[in-house]
Amino acid sequence: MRRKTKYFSLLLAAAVFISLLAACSSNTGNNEGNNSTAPTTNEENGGQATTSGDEATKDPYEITLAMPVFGSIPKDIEVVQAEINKISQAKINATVKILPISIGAWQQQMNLMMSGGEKLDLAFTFGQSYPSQVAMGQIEPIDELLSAYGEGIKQAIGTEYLKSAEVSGKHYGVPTLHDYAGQSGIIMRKDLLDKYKINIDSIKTLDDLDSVFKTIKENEPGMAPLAIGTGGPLDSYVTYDRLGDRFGVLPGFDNGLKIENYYESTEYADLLNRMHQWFKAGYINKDAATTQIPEIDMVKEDKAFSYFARNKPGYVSEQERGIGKEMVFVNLLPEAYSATSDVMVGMWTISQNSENQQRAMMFLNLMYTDKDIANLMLWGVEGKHYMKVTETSIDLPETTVDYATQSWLMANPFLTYTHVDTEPDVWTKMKAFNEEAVKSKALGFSFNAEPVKNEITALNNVVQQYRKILETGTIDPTKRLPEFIAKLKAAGIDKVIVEKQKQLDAWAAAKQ
Amino acid sequence: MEQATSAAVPLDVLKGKKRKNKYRKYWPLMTMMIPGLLYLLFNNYLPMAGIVIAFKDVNFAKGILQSDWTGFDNFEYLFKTSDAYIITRNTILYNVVFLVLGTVLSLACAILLNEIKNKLLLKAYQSLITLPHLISMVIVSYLVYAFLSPEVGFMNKTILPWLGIEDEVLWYFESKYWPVILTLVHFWKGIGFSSIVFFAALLGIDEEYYEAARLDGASRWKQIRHITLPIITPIIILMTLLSVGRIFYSDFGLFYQVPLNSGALFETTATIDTYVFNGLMGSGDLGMSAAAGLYQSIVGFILVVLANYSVRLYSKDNALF
Repeated sequence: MRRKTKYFSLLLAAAVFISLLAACSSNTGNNEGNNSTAPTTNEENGGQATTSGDEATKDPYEITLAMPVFGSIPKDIEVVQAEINKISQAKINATVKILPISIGAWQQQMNLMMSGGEKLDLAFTFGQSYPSQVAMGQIEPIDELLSAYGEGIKQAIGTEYLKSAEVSGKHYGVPTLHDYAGQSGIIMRKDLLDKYKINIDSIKTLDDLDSVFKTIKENEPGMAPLAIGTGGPLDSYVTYDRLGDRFGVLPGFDNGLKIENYYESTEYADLLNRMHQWFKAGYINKDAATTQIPEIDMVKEDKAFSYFARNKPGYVSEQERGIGKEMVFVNLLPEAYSATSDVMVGMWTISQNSENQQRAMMFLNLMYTDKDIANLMLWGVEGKHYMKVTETSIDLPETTVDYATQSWLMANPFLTYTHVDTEPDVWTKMKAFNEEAVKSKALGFSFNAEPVKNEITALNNVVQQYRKILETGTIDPTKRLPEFIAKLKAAGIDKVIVEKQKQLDAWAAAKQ
Repeated sequence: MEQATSAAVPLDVLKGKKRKNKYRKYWPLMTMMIPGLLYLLFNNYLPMAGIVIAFKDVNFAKGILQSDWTGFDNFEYLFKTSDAYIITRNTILYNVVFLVLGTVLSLACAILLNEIKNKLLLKAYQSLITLPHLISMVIVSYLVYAFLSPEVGFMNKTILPWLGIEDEVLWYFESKYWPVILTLVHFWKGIGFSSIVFFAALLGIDEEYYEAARLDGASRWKQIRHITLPIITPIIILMTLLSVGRIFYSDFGLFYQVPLNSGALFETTATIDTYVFNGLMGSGDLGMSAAAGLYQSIVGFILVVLANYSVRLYSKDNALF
């Protein structure tokens, strides 16, 4: 008996040992394989970039396309994929394999795929991680590919906006089409405006809001006249180009390209004082600085009356759908402004792991130009995932739909059908809106924070410490604002501004 | 690891042919050790090569090894500002408090549990005090929020009026209360779990010692002082040495989630981990976050060696190595 147990334990040990070895060896095998293929394909691509279209599409190729998924992974993604492939096969002799990645795992998964050398051709990239992905070499410059195969992309976005994606004179990705501008203002509940006979034409500036808030405060107990949730009024009320991180901004979206420290401006001090007045008067919810509840939910739950926002075509109806009440938007600044950060919300990029970058670019071009592919990617298959109502609008079936995604992830939503609940001409309006918006003088400039990354890290922490409590009006700025400014200086904001000005000047010089 | 030491110790005293015999005798045990060793090797030692990232400007196109060396540039931000002092002070002070008070409290807890003779009650108490350990920090942060919320919180609405205090306290903006709040939350959550180890050690003490002591007329307190404590001193030292190594780390959930990352509390709630997170969340710089991790582990390593050294001076048997 004793002997038996002894052998058994030995056997067990051996089994564990072998399985461990097997696991490890298969891993290393994979890595080696990938590492060895990556550099050679890069070379190939470089050489082929100039060859003609016919030759480039000679061999079939499968494009791996990664995009984030909010909520559960759609069941029918393969059905949609098969439909897309029918089109892409005929047009560019390529099929596409959609790789849906849950948003919670997105960042990590992408990093792993990039560093592990896994096959990846096209990927969605968030505007905020775009510069660091460029800096780390995870995505490829695409200027040559863009001129060879991306004519449709250029036309759809327009050169001026397309230039926003440039980093040191090179494109590493193309922005998705969406609203490239915003007009600062406040969105309010229509039923209460009517109830208290508030004339919205009388609201032109921030000063005019005092009496509105006062009326609401006095007559609607338990309701905050102004909601501050995860955002903040000063995030939406912007009179300047933030130039990425707000450490050094361009006042008035122009200022002769002279960068200034917004936190030191009198405008900022005045705004903070106003917020503090409002907070003291009880116009702002008390937990503004710490709450994790979005403004829209506070209004929905009758806890609040209004919130600051940046308007664009379709925005109000979108908010109304979320809240379930009629809303009214009032502009507080005269124009809609567009800055680089407005354009670079999301991008489509070609990964450095791509084994056939031309084909990736060709498919990307289709995403911006082919109406059928755009609709398939956004809405799914007609008759299965949506029904057409008119020529340009659709409705979703009553039953659960096994395919869903977000329109702002789409390369070119302007090509797609609109939902029956939205304004039918929202895309036309948005195109016009983008064209009419006042473009910041620094539109297209992106700050490369790499040379001052130590300062940025320290500044991020200072901002984290002060910005929210000051901008929600929670704390009296008379003492805390000078403290904030002093800490920013100590953390090196001046050095960042000097660096940013240097880069901006160089950018402006190169532009001419 | 434990297998390794238990197998190695007797071997030390053996010599020559006898040692060979012992090897033969213990070979199944040694074989069993292999998976554990391999696990350590692959899981703990191989990834250590990643330390180079802390000294590099990582570029995926070039690959990690080919990326440019940057020397100590990645570490600079940890020491550069006046915040460096605050975050280091907070991290160390909280951990020292957690360590000292934690040992005392969990020991006390274990001794009290040990005195409960009713099996059913004992299980009930044990489950109750261990329960918070199983709750996620995010949920704990909302439990705390239920107490401290400015508008509807239990503290402002119920407890303070009871105590005759009329003024509302804006808890999330007054940094002076937070050392107490965080310590309370930490112990509420962790004490049950950390007392388990001590409780297990107490269960191992032979009942006869106590019987003998009682016959000699020792009081409960004297029994604890002269029997219980000396017997579990090695466990106390072991547990302390193990936690000293993590003195530069902080429980990110506790310091980030529970204060709701409120900027006004920076003075007393910022630790190295939250500072690194807030600073690098936007850029996601691999080198700089690796640098922070390396800095923490090196300080931890030095502290463990020093602490172990001083334990050796005092009692050689109780040292870890």
